[in-house]
Amino acid sequence: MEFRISKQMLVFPSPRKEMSLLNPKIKRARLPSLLTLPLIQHRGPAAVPIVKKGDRVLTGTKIAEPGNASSAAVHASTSGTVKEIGEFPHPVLGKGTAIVIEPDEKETPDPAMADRENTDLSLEELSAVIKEAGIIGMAGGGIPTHLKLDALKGRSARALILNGVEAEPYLTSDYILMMENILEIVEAARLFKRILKLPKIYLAVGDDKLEVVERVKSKLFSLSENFLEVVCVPARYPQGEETLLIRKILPDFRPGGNPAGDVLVLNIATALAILDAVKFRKPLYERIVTVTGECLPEPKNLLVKIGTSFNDAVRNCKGFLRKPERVLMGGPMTGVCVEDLNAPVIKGTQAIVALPPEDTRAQEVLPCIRCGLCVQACPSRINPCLIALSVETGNFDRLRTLEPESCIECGNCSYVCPSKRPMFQWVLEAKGIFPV
Amino acid sequence: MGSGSERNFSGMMLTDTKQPPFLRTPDSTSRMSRRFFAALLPVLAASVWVFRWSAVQTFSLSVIFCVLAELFWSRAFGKSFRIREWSSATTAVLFAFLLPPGVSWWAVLLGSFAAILLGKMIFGGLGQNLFNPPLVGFAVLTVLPGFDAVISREVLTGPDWGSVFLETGTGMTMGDVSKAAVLFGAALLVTRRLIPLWSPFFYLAAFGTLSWLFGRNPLADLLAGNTLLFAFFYVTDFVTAPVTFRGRMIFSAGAGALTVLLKIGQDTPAAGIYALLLMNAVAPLLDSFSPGTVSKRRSQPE
Repeated sequence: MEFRISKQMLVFPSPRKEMSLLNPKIKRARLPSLLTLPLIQHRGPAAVPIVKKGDRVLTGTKIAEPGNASSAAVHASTSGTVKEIGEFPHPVLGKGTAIVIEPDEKETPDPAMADRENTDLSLEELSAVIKEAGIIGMAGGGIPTHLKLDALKGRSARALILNGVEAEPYLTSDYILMMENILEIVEAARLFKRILKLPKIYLAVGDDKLEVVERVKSKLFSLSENFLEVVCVPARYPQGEETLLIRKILPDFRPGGNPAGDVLVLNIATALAILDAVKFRKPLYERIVTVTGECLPEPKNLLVKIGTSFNDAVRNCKGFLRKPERVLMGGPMTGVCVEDLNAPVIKGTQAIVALPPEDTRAQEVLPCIRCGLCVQACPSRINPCLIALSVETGNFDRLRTLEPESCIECGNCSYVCPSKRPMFQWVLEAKGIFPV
Repeated sequence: MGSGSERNFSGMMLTDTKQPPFLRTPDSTSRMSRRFFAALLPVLAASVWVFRWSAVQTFSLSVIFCVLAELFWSRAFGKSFRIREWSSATTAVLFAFLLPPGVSWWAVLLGSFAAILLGKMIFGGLGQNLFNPPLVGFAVLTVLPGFDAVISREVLTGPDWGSVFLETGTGMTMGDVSKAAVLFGAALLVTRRLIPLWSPFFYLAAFGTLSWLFGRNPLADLLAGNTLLFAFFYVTDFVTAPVTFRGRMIFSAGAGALTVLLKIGQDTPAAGIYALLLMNAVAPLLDSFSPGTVSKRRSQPE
């Protein structure tokens, strides 16, 4: 028997999505004077450069090979010349090796990007196409997508969920992408259905995006197709997280992770990138980024070439209105604080959020008052309160029984804590002590 | 000190704003204590209405002594004094609720110092205490010889519907005067999301059921004395309760059941106080009974 504390005591982060939706279309960002393409844009070993200084590259030319099976390729995002290969700012790592391209502003596409006539691929071929196109999880996870397919190891997938929930505050890139690519969503679903030999595909959409649900459903109706099931889930953070989504959509699925790896969850941007790679042999060299926050005069969703610096991307929104206290890559719950705004947009940059000082001021950390709000807020149903106290006191025997390894790293515990304790960091510390 | 935080010049620990999550709830510990204090005001107002000057006197003495006790401790041991958290004022009012009006000042002094120093400070201050501080203050008064006469009072019997709104008998304590005021304060607590409704519910349900099983009049027991006040203002104190849902459920129900059992032994208004203190003592144990996890081992495929 499982008890679930009601969520009535909790305050959830306000969505703050409206500001970037005032410009309801995707705008193409201006081509910057230099593009910095880091060799590590994914979780895994670095890619190996295959160009040298002075080489001429075209839009979509592969400039770095995957280092090994769990790495991802990097492609030139515009035509131009390789100016330098060296250490440059990186949004996550601080510094990292990168290839700098000076654009010639002609945008000549690489001839390799030719339409594919036969899109009837096998699973292995699809995995190879994805690896060739350098596609990684575009919602910030950064795991190379071909690894997810390879994890099936020849077994058939049990289900595929296209994830368009986007429950994190500020982010609207997936919403805009879905609104403008309804037919492509259906096409991508059809492609996966055929390759994975599934009877139907799930599309999970947050219930704040009912327009998307309506549009996809009417498109399916006019095509008289019914293989795509649109599931409306509560757009309450962290509903978009993989294990929670699986649990929500496939209720008979065992909670506590995806041990067999036979339920695939693909972010909708990743799925559409795969469709482009299959149909047009187009590698992942540009993506939609929500550039938003209270410090920007004109928040919008931009189609940004990978390698554009944060500063250049922000300039498309008329620069900063006031000096931002923190600029984040990704949303405010799971994002990364970017110190150097010369760092480039990478494949996993879902958003650039400029947070105002009033949201980010340091507050005093007070003792735990055992209010239990973190226990109620935890979607993994572990006990962050006792985990944090055990980490503080070094009680490792107790810690083991509290199962910190079930944490999905959503950050809710820190968010709700009225004493402003760094619960999330403590749980991560505990998770590090007992790796899975 | 854990990771993800830094200390500023005065030794205070501050949140690290370079670590996720970058947004924090607008709620804070001091706001919660302020709201909790505000929910005590209806009962306080009712008892001032009934007892006039003597209630004002006891309440103010209690608040003054509790704040002084906390000030004394923080000066003596170099801790930062946090009056803006309202916790000593809340403790003071909750302690005064247990006393009859116009009780002599040295009883208030002794109880207040016991509540703050023995009940809270020796455990390390706010959030660290094992026992409910106002109850500790009262318990200390009852065990000391000679104090019993000062704080003892008659046991009220039988529900009298007029008395639900305002009671003016002799031998009353200041928290018992109006059940309507208690319920109004409780509504404030629940609607402002300071306590969950199920915690007092389990307390009252266990209390009523056991009272009925032992052949007492459950309605009389529920409406008599300080039962309602306890259910909403003392049992729901989360510092001294377990953190998990299962733990809190057992805690609340256990306190209710134990109160009835103690009442059967000796029908004294202090039964509720001792029952809750006993449950406070086992609260950490209840937490380890119910870690509140969905076991990974159970969810692994066979």
